[in-house]
Amino acid sequence: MTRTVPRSSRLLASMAMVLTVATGCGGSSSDGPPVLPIGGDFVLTDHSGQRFESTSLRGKVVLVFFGYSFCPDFCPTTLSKLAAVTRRLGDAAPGIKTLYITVDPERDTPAVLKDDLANFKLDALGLTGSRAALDSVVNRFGARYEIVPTPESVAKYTVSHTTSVYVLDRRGRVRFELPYESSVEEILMSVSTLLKERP
Amino acid sequence: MTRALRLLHQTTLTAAFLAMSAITPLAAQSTTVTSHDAWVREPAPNRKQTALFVVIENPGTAARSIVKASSDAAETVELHEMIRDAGMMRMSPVKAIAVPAGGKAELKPGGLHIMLFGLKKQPVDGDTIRVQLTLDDGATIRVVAPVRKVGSMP
Repeated sequence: MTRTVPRSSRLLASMAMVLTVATGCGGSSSDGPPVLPIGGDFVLTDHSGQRFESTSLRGKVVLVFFGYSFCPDFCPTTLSKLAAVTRRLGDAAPGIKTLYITVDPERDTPAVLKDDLANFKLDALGLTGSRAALDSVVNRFGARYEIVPTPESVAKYTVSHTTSVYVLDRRGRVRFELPYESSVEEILMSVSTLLKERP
Repeated sequence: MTRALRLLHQTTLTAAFLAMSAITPLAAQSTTVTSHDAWVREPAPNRKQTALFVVIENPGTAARSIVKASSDAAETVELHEMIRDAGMMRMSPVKAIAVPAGGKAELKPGGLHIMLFGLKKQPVDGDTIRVQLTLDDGATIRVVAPVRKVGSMP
């Protein structure tokens, strides 16, 4: 029942990241934040049930995080921070898009994800897909999750998961991996840095 | 089968509680544990579960713990904890929540909380939810929690 994305891929990603930083060959031509060797384009299903291709967001700064709706805490907290970022951006807000990718596709149908986003004022898409498709995205971002059976709870199972927010530049490259504890100001600063770069 | 077991379990607990209160009625009545700053997060539309947060104070000299929670507003109420562990966020049910002597238990986002499952009516901002917490000495605390919409952080 327990399903964990292999640690090896994350380790490789971390090692590659260290190398990238050490050699200064991050792929970024300017002095901006280095391009992290994680992420990549993917195809999933959005909260309206439509096919979603990440390449459709070229030109926007994209915020990506993994979660699941049954958890009443992490996702709302992250979404409320990102809504605050959106508000603080003001006129620049249309330049960003949030992707909330579920790691619990059994419970998180497109309709559930749509409801999850309803309380927040931000331009976001809830994304789901087959377990294999989601695992592939999780892997490529170096994220992890684990399904934990909880027979003593009516929840039946919970999903442990990593809580980083990944910030992608206008070309779809991951430039920041922000920890859960990041403040609205810190997220805003990362986003603003990338919005200033040329598309 | 499960239902029968649960019933049996409840009956046993009730019997134990009655026996205990019969022997030490004063102990149960002298508990000074109190609660404040309770609130419930407004769930997303159509979502049948949400979390309650509250601060439990124990000015007494004996350590106490919350062992059970119940509410007319939900089918099941459980004690849960959210833990950050090796970069992962884990949510798991807990058997009890300790309230140290002369101290407090802070149930807040990102940590300990009370989970309400199977909400009977969709709670919205402005509603109140009543939850009863049972302590290990058999005493109960009535918590009245306003429902708050947390749409955006300042």
